[in-house]
Amino acid sequence: MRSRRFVVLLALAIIIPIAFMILIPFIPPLGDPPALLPGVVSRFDPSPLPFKPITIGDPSSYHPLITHLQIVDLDADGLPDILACDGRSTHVIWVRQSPKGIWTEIPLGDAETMVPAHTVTVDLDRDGKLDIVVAGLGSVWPTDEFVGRVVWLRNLGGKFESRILADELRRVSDVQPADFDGDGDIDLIVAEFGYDHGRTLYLENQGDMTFNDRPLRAYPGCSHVPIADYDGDGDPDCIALVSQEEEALWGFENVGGKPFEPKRRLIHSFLNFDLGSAGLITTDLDQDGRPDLLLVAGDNLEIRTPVPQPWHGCFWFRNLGGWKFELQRIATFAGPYGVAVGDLDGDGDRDVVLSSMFNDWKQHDAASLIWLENDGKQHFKPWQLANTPTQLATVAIGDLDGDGDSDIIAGRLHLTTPFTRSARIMLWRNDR
Amino acid sequence: MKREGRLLILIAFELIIGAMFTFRAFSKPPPPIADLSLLDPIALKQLNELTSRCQSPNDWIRLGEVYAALGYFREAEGCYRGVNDPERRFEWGFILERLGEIESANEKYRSAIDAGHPRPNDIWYFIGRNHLRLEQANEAMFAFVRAERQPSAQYETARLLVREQKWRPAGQILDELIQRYPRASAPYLLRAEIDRVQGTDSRLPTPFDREWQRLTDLYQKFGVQNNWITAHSLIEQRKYEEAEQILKRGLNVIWDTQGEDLLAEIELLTGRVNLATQRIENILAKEGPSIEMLIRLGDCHEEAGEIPKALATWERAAKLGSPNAVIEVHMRMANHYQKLGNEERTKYHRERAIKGQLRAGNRVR
Repeated sequence: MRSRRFVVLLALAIIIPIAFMILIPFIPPLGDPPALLPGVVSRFDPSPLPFKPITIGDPSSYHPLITHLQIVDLDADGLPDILACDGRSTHVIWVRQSPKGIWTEIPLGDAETMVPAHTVTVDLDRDGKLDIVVAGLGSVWPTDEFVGRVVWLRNLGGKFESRILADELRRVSDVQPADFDGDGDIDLIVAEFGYDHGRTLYLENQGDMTFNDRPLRAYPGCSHVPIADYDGDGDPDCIALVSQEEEALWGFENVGGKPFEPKRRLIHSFLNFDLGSAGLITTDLDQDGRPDLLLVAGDNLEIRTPVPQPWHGCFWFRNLGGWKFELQRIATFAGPYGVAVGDLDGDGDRDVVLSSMFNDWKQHDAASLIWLENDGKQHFKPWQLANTPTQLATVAIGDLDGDGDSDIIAGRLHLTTPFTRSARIMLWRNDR
Repeated sequence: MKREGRLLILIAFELIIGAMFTFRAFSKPPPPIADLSLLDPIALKQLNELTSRCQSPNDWIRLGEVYAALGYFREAEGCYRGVNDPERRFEWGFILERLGEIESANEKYRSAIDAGHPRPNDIWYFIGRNHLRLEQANEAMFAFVRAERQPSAQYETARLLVREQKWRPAGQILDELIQRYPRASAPYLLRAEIDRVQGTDSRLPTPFDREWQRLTDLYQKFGVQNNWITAHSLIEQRKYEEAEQILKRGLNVIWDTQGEDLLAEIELLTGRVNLATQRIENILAKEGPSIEMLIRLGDCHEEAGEIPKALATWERAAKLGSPNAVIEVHMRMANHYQKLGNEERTKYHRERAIKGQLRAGNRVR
């Protein structure tokens, strides 16, 4: 009896530690998980102005790649239309409004262009009809291949003929027209973004709608080339946003005469190589008669899993005259790509709309569209317009419903996860 | 009995120890759980398995790596807390950097170096980049220099030097990088920018240039052009009288800035200051202001002893631009202002002269 008890105790003495060793790893941890860092996410108070979101055009069956939207009355019928660059299509799409409130998509041109990235409307051949010049990116993804081109969609009176103005370029992200050499025809400045190689190009119109190209600067990463008379001397100048090897604004001052041989000026260079410049527009924000610049920085496309950064936001380069610009941050906003200016609240000053590509979309209330209310002294208060759809790369402002106030359209560039909360082109109707 | 008693004590001891371990296991924190609803079902299953088996520090690190790979950086950071291994500290810093926690990231990077990370130069490069993100040029430069011959850090050092217009050291770094990495394009691009700014860039020689030069040489032997070139050569040989005759013969045929300027130069060199002054004023009236001509007019006024006039003319030239010719003028103005007792202008022009000389000095490679 005693010996049996001893054996049992001996067995227990052996089994107990083994049992603990086996079972302890399966014990669920009941402590508190580590508190996570907040990360960078932008969310704001809801807009006091009422906006109604409305889907425009055909809903996309697959992740839409809207690279650029422009509001323009292309058929001059008194109803604003939309020009859409859709990377899923090889044509610029005319989202025609006719009759009022009814939108129909019409692909433009008789030739294909891979990934149209930007359109600008101008009467290029001076025949009285509004033409379209297209920056053909060729590839959304980085490459040094010669995939870019500049295409002229010539308006033949409702029908558009495609004509290639410049080919065998690296990725072209922007093109802007003006008569730079004062000879009466329209020349072009081209942002040949490229990748490791790229240029800012000048296309000089020979007068017969053929163009000679000349590099203004042989450096990659030129994404936007807004044109205005920045120095107020009566001729058009250009400012290029460069964001590949550097994060900088370069001015090309038109010193007059033909040929156009601009003086190059470094407007600003950020030390932060990771700034993520994504858009640059010209606007006279303070209405002092001098064209200013608005820069949005929120690009993260080089990272497979984009994360917003604390320096992302919108910067105002206030034109002080004499090629001097004063830099001022007007908004901190995660991942902005699109920027547009208009008087949303009808108080006479210029408000700003920003759309985000790379907010923290894992957080459901992260803002994708906001507007910055101008208090009249260029102090801005951000208001959230939408958290869905996400990944809005482009935004434009115009009175689309003809009720006298400014509406907003935005387009989705759906390149990275999450592939939810989708849409393609959205209108936020101002119901003020 | 004695043996059983000992066993009972052992069992009791085992139970106490086991209970302690059990309590410790219960009170352990669970790993961070992310909102995985955006993942595909296969990745979701794989991640759930990792989470459920997350016990040891290595399990936590593994989970953290996977979270980071899938873009869940906040959760990844939570998994890396308290790591000591230098490689892991670096990874922790990298995750913090992704989250925009730049200063904390640099703290972790430095601690990884202190703990003996095998690639400290790489980490200094990361530290430098983060200082750039914070727009801290000096700190960034310090870090990149600490990275020694880490090529990306060297390139960033060159970029910072270019920003400071220190062309020569920047060029040296880039030349070295080009030699070491002849197929990398970035150093070539920046090198070309330096050469462009310095004016040392050049086109490839082409047969066209040679042919055009041949015709240009011939052209210069014909017409009044030949008078100016010949006169210029004679002035260099101090044959002023001969040069003056040739110039006057040319100017009688056609008025030309170049000829007029050369004649003014001879007049100035031979003490006929008033004539030279009139001639240069004539050029300025016809051609409009230019830096070079204003400097020459100032020289005439100086030669005539009209220092206030000379200073006013040179000041105007200096405001129009800052080519190398203006550097010497700044120095001369500084000397004159010193004699006139104007300390403020003396200091101003001396500083401008020194700055210009430094820039010009950097141009010599």
